[in-house]
Amino acid sequence: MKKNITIPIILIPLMILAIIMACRSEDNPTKFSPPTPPDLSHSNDAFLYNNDGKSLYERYGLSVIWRWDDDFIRPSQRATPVDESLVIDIGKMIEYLWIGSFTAQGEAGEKFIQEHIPVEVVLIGSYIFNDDGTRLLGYAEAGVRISLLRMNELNFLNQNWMLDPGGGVIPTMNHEFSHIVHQKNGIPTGFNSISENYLGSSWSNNVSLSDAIKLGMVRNYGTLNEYEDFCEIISHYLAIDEETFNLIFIDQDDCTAYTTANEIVNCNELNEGREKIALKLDLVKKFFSDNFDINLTSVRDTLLHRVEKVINLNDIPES
Amino acid sequence: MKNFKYLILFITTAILLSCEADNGVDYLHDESPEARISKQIENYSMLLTGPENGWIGYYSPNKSYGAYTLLTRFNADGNVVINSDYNLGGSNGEVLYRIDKTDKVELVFETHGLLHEIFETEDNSIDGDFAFNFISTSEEEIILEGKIDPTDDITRLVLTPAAESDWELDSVYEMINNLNTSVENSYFRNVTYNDESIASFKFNSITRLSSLLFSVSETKDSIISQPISIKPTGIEFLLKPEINGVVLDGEFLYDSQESAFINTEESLKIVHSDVPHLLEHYDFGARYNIRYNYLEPEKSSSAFDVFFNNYIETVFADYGVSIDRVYIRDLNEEAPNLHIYTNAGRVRAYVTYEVRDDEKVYFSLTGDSNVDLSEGEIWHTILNPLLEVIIGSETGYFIENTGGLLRYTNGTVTLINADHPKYAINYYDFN
Repeated sequence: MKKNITIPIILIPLMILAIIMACRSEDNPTKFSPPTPPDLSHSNDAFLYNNDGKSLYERYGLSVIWRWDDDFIRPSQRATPVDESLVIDIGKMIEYLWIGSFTAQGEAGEKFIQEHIPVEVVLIGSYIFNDDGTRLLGYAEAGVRISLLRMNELNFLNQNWMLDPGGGVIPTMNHEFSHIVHQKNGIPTGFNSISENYLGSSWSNNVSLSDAIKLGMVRNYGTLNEYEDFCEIISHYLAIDEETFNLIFIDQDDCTAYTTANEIVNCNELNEGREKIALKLDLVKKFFSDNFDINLTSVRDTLLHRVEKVINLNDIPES
Repeated sequence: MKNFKYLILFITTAILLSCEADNGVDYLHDESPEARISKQIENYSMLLTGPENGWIGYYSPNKSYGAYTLLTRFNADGNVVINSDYNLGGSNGEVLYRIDKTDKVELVFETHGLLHEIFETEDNSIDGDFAFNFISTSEEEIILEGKIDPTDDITRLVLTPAAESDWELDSVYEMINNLNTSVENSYFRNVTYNDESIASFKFNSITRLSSLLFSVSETKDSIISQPISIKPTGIEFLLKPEINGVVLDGEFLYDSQESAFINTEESLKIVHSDVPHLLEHYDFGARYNIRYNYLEPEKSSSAFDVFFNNYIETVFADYGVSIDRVYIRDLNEEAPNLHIYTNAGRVRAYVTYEVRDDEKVYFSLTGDSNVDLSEGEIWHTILNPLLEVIIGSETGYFIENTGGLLRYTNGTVTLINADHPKYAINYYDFN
């Protein structure tokens, strides 16, 4: 027979309290320490953290890490720090071209940035080279940190450095930022079933742009999986003017103009891939519109207009 | 039930007593680890900022590289001035540093500067360092070990207090120029002992290594790579190499009259010579093609680089002809030929060649060509100055194996014009 055991109710809280009090220790090695405010003695930090309410930290809680810390790369990777004289220009660029192209869309853009901006951006001077000889262009970690690479090549006259969808700094930012977006919100329903398959780690085995388009992706790296596909479509769409983007990725080619069987097959395969890209792009635009009230086309137009201004001035304009 | 209540009370009391133990940590030392580390960091900081003229050391990223002079002046505000003979001073400047604790207490050069530029050579792959662990410290010497590249080839940097005069690097830059191949002098340098040649000497301005080639027996040659330190007045072999019993010790002072590095005390000299002591063997003709090594023009002599660049500019200015590729093709076929790419078409001039017992190669034009190279003809006027230098030496061309390309697997070979040994032309080979 099961017997109920009863303890005077007064004893229970007393016991718990006694145990807690007795075991509390001032020497607890895991005691939480709140982050210390950054040392603002360097002009870079003053600009980034305490700039009359205008700094990225004050406005968005974004920490820009520019002093080298090897915790930000793996032991097998090799990279170098950013040049300290470039940090303020990079900070301005992050705000004007990346954040600003969204916040210029109004309250919705501001809200979108506030909700998705990473906690940290890490500036690295060079590429990150892996020990297998490959190199990274940038990366995002768990939705909280984006690492921006080859910052020492900063050149406001070089449109390619800023906008090349295959590794320019702004597409890289938008690519990594898009990872944060899908890490928090997922990807549009149906996006991952438009293309029949992804190539996984084989994406790097001589997959050409044409191969990628035939599969319904805008870049070979997009063939890795649906997440990279999602990020690449966004970063490409925002970095390329409409006419060029449509010409390469959307518009159907006239296959009757070709004469050989191979050319015709190739043309048809590319057209099928472009249909897939168009479907994905529509889903992505709707996803941004429905979830965040963001018009990606308008973001793109703002970004491209701003890049043009930067090139003309060879500087970031005062907003 | 009553017993159970007592049991609960007993357990509670036991827990209370066990937790009541003194929570203070008994340290082996008088201070906590944090306090000791903090004190150590402070000590290192005072040590680094101590010497009035900073510290001097010789930095070599790995065993395949020679050493760069490194002068550092650490300031208490976190800045450090780093000057060096790297890049002839073009990368000197100030960066931020910090002394930090991760696994060990470390010195990190945390913004981009000279050490990072060296690190970035060949896509960050030369095993350099810009974060160092402290190994030992005193006011006379600080020994640091590279932290980033924990291979068996760990960078070791020894710093000693610098003198004010150490910071005057202009004469060091000049000495580097003296070490590089000369526009005036022969490409060859030999080491002599009592005026007898004992080894060939070469200096690679990229890797900062010297190489010494000599015979150890009738059938065996030996080549040794040696890091050298470059000083305002001359050079010194850091590892004191030995060549058949002769030790290259002490400083070799530069004598501008002789264009030679001389160690009078040891009766040793490094002198230009029209004839090499020895050259690394290259099996000329074993590969189909060789092409002027435009990828690494520094492998050719300065004199040839100057000649070639002037020649290209002159030909373009005078005749509107640009020359962008120079090959010697089909070396192991019946009809070897000189093949020159120009904007006016590709010129193919057939040659014969012979490698003789003196281990030099001799070229002759056969007269067969797709353009008219006869004297007085336009193509003769355009191409003859180049042909004179690259195949026209009557006393042939010394052949030197110069190893592989830095980024590719192709081998390279240098042909040195024996009539004018200041002209050394480097080619890479391929089939």
